[in-house]
Amino acid sequence: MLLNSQLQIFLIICSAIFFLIVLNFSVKRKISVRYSILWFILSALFIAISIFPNIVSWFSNLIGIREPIHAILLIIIAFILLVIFSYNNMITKLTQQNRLLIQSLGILKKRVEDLEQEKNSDVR
Amino acid sequence: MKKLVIIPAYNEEKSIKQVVDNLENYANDYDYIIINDGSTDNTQKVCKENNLKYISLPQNLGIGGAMQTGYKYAKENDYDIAIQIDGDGQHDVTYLDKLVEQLENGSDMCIGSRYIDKQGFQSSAMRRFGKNVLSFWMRILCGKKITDPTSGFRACNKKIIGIFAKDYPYDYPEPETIIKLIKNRYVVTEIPVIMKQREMGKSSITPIKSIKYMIKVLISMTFARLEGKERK
Repeated sequence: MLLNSQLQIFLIICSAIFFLIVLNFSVKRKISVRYSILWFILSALFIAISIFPNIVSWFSNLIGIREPIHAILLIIIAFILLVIFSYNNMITKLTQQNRLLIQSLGILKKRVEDLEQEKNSDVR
Repeated sequence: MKKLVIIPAYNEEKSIKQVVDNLENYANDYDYIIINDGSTDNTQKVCKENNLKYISLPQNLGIGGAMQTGYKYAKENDYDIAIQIDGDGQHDVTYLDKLVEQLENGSDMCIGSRYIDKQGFQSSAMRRFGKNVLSFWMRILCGKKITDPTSGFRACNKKIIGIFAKDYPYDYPEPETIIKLIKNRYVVTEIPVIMKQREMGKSSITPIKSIKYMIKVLISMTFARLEGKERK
């Protein structure tokens, strides 16, 4: 027995709440569907593990980790690294989009000023 | 033939007017555009008051983003040749015709190098050493000797303007663009130029930062080489 039933119920409730939060945010489009998938997978995993804690022992046996708790830490750290990496990717993309906007704005401003000048000289 | 001089300027309030005056006095068949890269000093005010032609970026993008703006402007206005010169006055505008001549003789990009004839301002021994390392690495990466890979004094033709307007490296654009072009079989040449010591302002590279700078440039050059060829 990995967990006592009291702790298990607590964990199930926590994972369910986490799942509902993710669902709520996705439905309200506070996080885009693309990124919500990752969080759905994680929350589903939490629920599965809290209902069937033996998954963890099975997994740690499978890859040769003696203590199941280490397997959990490994999974979570791997997940966090994945998330940070994808953020890095997103930031770079945002920077590129931002740069494009700044450049276009600069060129547009120049164009508007040129046109204004042309117009003024036409009037005179 | 329409020729545009692109002058990226970040906090060059003291020198920018002089650069444009030089252009008008010694090279008045060239159009120019100043790219004010979100300067925090009075660069924009100086440009406006003296009625200079400029594009003002609302935020600082760095040399790569600023130069790309210039190339985009060149493309939109259908220029045949774009020449980059620094806004601090260290590049002598009397060389413009020589750079253009190289383009007319078949080069796609021509770089003004201060290390071919080794005349004029040569910068410190440390920087020359750094330059040699970059030059050596450039040779390994693309088998061509470029004596001054970080020179910001360069001219390119219409084909290259189109390429740069679409995609321009922003980390260390000078060496990266050379690699990108050679890799895609464009002709890159150098001519000797004499550069003046910076008239105003300080160089942006301090000795402490220089090692960090070197490592980053070497890495970005390597990435530029590894990057896939341009899709046509």
